[in-house]
Amino acid sequence: MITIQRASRWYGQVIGLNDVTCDFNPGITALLGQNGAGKSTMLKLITGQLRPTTGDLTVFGERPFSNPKVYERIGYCPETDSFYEDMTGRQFVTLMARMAGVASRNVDSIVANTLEKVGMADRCDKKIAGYSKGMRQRIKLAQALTHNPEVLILDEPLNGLDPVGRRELQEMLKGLAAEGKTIVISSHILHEVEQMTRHIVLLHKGRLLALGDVGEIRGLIDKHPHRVHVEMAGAREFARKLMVMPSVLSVAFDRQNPDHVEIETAAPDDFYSEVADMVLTENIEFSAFTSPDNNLESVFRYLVSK
Amino acid sequence: MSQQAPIADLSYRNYDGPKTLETKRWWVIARNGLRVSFKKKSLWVLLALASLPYLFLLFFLFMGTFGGEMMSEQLGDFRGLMLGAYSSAFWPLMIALLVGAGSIAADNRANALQVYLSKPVTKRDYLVGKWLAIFMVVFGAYFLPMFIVTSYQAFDTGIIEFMKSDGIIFAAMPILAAIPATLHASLLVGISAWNKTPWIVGVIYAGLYFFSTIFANILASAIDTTEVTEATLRHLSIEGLIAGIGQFILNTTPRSLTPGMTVDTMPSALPLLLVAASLIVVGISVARARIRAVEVVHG
Repeated sequence: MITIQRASRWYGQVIGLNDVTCDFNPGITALLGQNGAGKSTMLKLITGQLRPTTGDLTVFGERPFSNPKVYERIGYCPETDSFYEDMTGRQFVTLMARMAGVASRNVDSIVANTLEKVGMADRCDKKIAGYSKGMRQRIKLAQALTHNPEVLILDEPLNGLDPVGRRELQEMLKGLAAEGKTIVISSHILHEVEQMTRHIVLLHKGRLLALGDVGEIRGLIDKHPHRVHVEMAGAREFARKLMVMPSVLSVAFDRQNPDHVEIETAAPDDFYSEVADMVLTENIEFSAFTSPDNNLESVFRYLVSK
Repeated sequence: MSQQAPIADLSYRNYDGPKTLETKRWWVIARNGLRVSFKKKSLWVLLALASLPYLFLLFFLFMGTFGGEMMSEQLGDFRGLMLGAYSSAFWPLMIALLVGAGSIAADNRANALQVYLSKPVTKRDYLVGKWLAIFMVVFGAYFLPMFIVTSYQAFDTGIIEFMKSDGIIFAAMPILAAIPATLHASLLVGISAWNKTPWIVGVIYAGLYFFSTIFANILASAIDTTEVTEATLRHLSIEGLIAGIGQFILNTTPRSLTPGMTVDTMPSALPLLLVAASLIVVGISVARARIRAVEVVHG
């Protein structure tokens, strides 16, 4: 769908994106990075608002810069609130739908349907000037969705949404991804992104730092062994049995909580397999079994701080 | 009979209907511009004020039907009187400022170009749409009152007789209305594209408009030359170009209903046409160079 080949984008002497190569395929991909990492530059390149200074970028096999054919198949939700404040939400989404090419005879029903979908049906006839941040996000999403694009580019779509709104948006995006749409989400809210996808593109200072499944990427970070936290009665006895496993690097106890034990492993897959066998053969019971750093937050932190 | 599930499917349905041709997208932008403009009550007030010279003319034409010889002599040069009303450019300028100052500047301020230009809309579509929205309002502000007054005069004097003497006015009206509409629209999109604050655009354009008038008058007075050249120099301003080209089209000089307020020397058409064309090209080119979805930072 979206192919980026050694693309760089310079703003005068400042580099926004530096020699990045990656693909975006159907499903949800999270585009992660700190402020200034190059996320927005990449999104603007994909949506054809900028042209790569060097390298190549294609969407559906065509270069998107100044190419309306590509825009017909893209829905873009920018980070900034880009509105006419004295328009109502419905008027704005209708205008955007017409600009996207939705036929006049269908536009009213399509807009009503989309506003319903983003949870703005009851508030869409008020002026945008009076909208909260969350309502603005929903309207921005609606304008990106009206023409049923195959690719959705969402720049910080979760900002300003309340927990219910976030959950609704997550479910909606998962549904769209299941339909085969390519969705690229740029976000700082990592744990929310993690609930939608395990597939990430991580940018840092304009360069591509990591690409792929969070779990796989985590497994490749040797510098930070995988930690597993276990709570159970007889934790020390369990730890003794673990010490003989070649996959275990260290075992640590918590002085305050004698039932807690933390294990470090360099081969998490082997470790989980061996523990599963042990649980079955020796009938071991856990109160809790978690991995505190097997999440996006940790992967992000480890990669960015390395 | 069609197959239907017992419980209707009310879930969200994606749009899979037809899409409008790309060539029509500029009209979506123009129509939105018109809708936004006509929602402003002040526009209606300005439209009424812009028609006042024509309403006065209409009133005098009506009174002339019952008036004496002096009045009919005064009203004899209908083309000149029409041109006099046409040359009253202040209220049309205010209309142009109201609809044009914010046309692109408001989008710049709201970052709306990011969204607009991510739709299947080209820079050209966007510019044509914005330009047309200004053009149509200003065109209407000139054309409608002219058409009403001319139609009244045609019916009053008799269609055949009117067509023989002043029939050219009917053909000239769209061109007369298009000149100020094109000039205002082109220059305003040019200035508006480079700004984020509509009132600053208004101040710049009004300043340019009035300064060019003052400058042209000073220039004409300062240079000792022929009457035609002086008249031409006096018309080298936005206001002057509109009035001067109008004189060329109707082949007469403007007349006022107030005795003594007449100008008899026509300017040369070619320099005025060249300057007007240059201003139009510059305005549109400047806008086209500036319109982009993102702010490009030059480090």
